[in-house]
Amino acid sequence: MKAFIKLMWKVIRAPSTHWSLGALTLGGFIAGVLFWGGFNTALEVTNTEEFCIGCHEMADNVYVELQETVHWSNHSGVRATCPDCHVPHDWTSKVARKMQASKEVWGALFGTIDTREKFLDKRLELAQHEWQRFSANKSLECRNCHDYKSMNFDAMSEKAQVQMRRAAERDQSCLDCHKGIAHQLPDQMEGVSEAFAQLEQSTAVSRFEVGSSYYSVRQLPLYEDVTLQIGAGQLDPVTSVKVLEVNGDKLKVELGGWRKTKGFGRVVNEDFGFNIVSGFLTKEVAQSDNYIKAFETKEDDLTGLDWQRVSIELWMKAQALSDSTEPLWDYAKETYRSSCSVCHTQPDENHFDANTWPGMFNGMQSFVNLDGDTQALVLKYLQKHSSDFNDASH
Amino acid sequence: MSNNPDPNDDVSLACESKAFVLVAAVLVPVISVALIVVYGFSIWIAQMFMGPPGH
Repeated sequence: MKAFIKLMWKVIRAPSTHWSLGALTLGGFIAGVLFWGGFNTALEVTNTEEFCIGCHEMADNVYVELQETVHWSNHSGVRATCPDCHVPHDWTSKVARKMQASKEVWGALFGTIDTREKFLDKRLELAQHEWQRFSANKSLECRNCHDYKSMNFDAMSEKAQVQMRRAAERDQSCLDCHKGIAHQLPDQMEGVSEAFAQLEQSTAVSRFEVGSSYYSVRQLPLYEDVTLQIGAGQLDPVTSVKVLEVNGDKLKVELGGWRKTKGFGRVVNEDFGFNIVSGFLTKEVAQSDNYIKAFETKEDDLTGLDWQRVSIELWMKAQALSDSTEPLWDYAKETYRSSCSVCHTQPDENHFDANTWPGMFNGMQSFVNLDGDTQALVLKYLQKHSSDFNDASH
Repeated sequence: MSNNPDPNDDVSLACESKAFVLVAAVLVPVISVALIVVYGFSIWIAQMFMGPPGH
């Protein structure tokens, strides 16, 4: 073997005696073409979905989740495959990413996430890696298909237009808002923000007493009957409901309030003349006597609208309720102070009255990034601490 | 060629052909792949210090 290597080395170093320069150059050229073609073909094979889901970690977790989303099936018939989003498209970054995959090979060999439980435990960390990458390259892989320049804002819903126009102006990274677009979010983030989840936990009621009143921590769905099959509407945060009946983890509750008689009367407000929203009902429930008891009607002098006192009996899950408003107001106050002071000195809560706050607050919405629950909670905090309820000044 | 004595005359055609195949089909491709791997890893290591690639 040693002799063979020595001989080869000697032959390689010396000029060729049997092969012409042209033949060697041509041979080298052909070998080069074959190599480069082969190399790129191999690289592309590792860039196919079949290759990605070759490991059960990918096939049984993220791949199944993708199939629930718009990136799997949609009206235009274009779908995203794993590498479209998760492998950079330019050559240098792609090669670097392929090397990083050595970590995934390691994980597959040693079973780092070989069960669903292990995967779920690690999901937050894994997701954060991807979010960091998307944040640094401004979601470049998304934007290979989705381009701000090609977006027709007029075709969007009004709400989306506001958000998307602002995002386009700032050239914002897609994943800033669209986390969990193609796979499930880590458990810790599902549905509510982390702070909200904590709030919900800390205020959790251990045992619901019939006849007692509790306050909703966040927006909560209401149902027509005990099976919780048919939606009946939604409670807004910090709305008081009285428990009428406890059935396992379900509650029959009574919601009292006032509604305007104009239209379907779907929005229930806390008190006469105040646009402090307690929740809203579906059209069916709002117009049915089965769920609603109506009492006296009064006319609001300011608007000339008739308001009707109502009492509504509906079912809900026994969750996210608090027996005190205090922790909710504390959280709302803190959020109000910190979010608004980023840009300006926030007005005192009692600077406006309860019916002025919604307009003020909604006008500022597009400047901050609050989820729906937090928005509704902060607005109600401001209304309930407005000049109507607290006239220390003004 | 047999008329012109050459210091390398003891190298046969088969031997030279073998050497060519060894270089063109094995050595150079292996070295190329190794260089690309090193390049990829160096970018990854650089990213650890300088953060993920931005644009």
